[in-house]
Amino acid sequence: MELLCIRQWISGLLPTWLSAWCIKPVGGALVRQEPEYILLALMGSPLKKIMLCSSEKEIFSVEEQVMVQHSVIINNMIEDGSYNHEESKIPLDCVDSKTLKKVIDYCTHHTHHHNDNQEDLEAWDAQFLNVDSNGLYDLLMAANYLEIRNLLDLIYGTIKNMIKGKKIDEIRRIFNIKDHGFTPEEEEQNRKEYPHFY
Amino acid sequence: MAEIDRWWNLHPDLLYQITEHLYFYDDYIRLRLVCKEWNSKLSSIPHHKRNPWLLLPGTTHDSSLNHILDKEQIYHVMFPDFDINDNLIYGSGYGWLITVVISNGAIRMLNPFTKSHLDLPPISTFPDVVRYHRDWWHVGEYVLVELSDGSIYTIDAISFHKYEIWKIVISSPPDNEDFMAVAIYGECGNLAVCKLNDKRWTDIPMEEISPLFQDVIFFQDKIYAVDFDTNLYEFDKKVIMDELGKKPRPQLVPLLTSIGGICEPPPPAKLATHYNCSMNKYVIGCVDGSLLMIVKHDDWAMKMLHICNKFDVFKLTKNSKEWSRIHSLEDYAVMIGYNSSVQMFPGKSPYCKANHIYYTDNQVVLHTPGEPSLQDMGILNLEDTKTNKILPNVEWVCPPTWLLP
Repeated sequence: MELLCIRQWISGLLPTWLSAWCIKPVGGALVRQEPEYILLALMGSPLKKIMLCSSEKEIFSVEEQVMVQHSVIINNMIEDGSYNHEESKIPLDCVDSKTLKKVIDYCTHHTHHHNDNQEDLEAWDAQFLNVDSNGLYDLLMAANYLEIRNLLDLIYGTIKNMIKGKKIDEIRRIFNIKDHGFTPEEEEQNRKEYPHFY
Repeated sequence: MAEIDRWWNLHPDLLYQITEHLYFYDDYIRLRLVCKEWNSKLSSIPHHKRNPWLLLPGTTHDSSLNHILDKEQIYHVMFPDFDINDNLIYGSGYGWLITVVISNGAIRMLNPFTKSHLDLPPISTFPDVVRYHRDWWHVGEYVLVELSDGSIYTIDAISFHKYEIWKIVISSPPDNEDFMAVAIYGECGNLAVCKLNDKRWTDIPMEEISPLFQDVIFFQDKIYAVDFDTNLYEFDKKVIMDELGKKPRPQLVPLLTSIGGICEPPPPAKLATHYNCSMNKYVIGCVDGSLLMIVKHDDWAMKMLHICNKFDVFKLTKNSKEWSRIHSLEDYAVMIGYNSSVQMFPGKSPYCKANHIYYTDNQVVLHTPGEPSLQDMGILNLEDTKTNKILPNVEWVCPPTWLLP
């Protein structure tokens, strides 16, 4: 299965002149070279994977390049050598499995589809963030911890839209804030001062 | 992780990041109203958003304004005892507005962001006021005013309150113990100062000359003022401050030399005499210690249409003996008008552009205060000298002014 994935990935990335090399005359007949062997010859090593371990001790295997591209924290870990490919896994104790899977999804999609047109990407992002406020909170914490800039911007943009122009009670409902913490006098004062927000 | 009440406890850094992504000031206020935790973690004035505001005195239900400015952010402030027909704004600085109440001559400072207010000594305590009077002869109250030559004239109190002040500038926010306010006042555009809790305004005496000041600023412990003839004056704030602190009430006259006077560098502009008053001068202190003087040319003949196209900018570098004409503000912008003339560093702000002059109208000579009139406000790009006019067709009873938090 892994080999299949690599082949698909390569054929998407290979420029056409390289694909043309796949056809070589051998003894008068045209023989097709397998593209992935050529690429392996060029790159010199198999596609690197890293292991991420959620708070629930579940292990996720993901392409190193994908995570390095998006997460500053993981990039730093690999660059300064604190991550040993042979046996280490990166423990992410503050991210649960569900959230980690989603984060990996986001990074993977954005790496593989970065050439897609803007509309498609935005549509995918919107669908990706179609979660409840709990899920959003977990994503925010994970993206913040892993320092994934574009995911953070996306989340903050969504939060901004959740606040923009809304009435205060609605915002409280959206963010699941059951007890606002103001004294009755303070709350009354607020309502008097900004009646159009309530 | 299925706890429910986690947003409530959001870390201040993340909350701050959310505010960075907010576009409307209203949304910032909303965040503070959602819950007590967020309220305590967010300051009442968003300090990171140090953008300039244009204050438009009007009613919140003035739909004609909303329509014109639909692309801008309008933040409505309710001031229950601010009657736009009874107030004139004669200064703004550090987020505070300084207004004159027409009906009773009170001078008040208001902060639209924090809603605080405090009073400065009223107009009746200005040095040129002899006394207020009311008798059956005259309708309403009138004022006896003394001119510099000693003669006395009378004027009705309402008109006096409208015309007496040209501009008021403050040295810092009022919670600072070195706070001082300076006013350009009277027929002759003199200077008067006061500290917090003073009962009166104290005149800064001039020697024999009778300058007509047009702008004044506090800069590096000094007070700089420019007169209608573009002469620059420098006064020592510390000395004045000390004297004002003494009892009994000082006359600053004996201190003349130590207070200051006309500056060495000769005036930069040779302006035709009869146009002098219609050209407003502004003086600005720069970050690098130099001073800028801006001369705004108005076409006297076109008083009604009020077309202002020409600005001359002069610079006096620190310790220099001469002004030089400059044609670019480089990375900075300036804001002039009734506000304390300031230099700004816009950086990457989308709301303020470098090398631009943001001006509002403070041409006392060409307006009748308290009457609706068109205002000459705009944004001039020094690079191509093109001007973007702001609301040129709206009449204002109380003129708009820049406000910087």
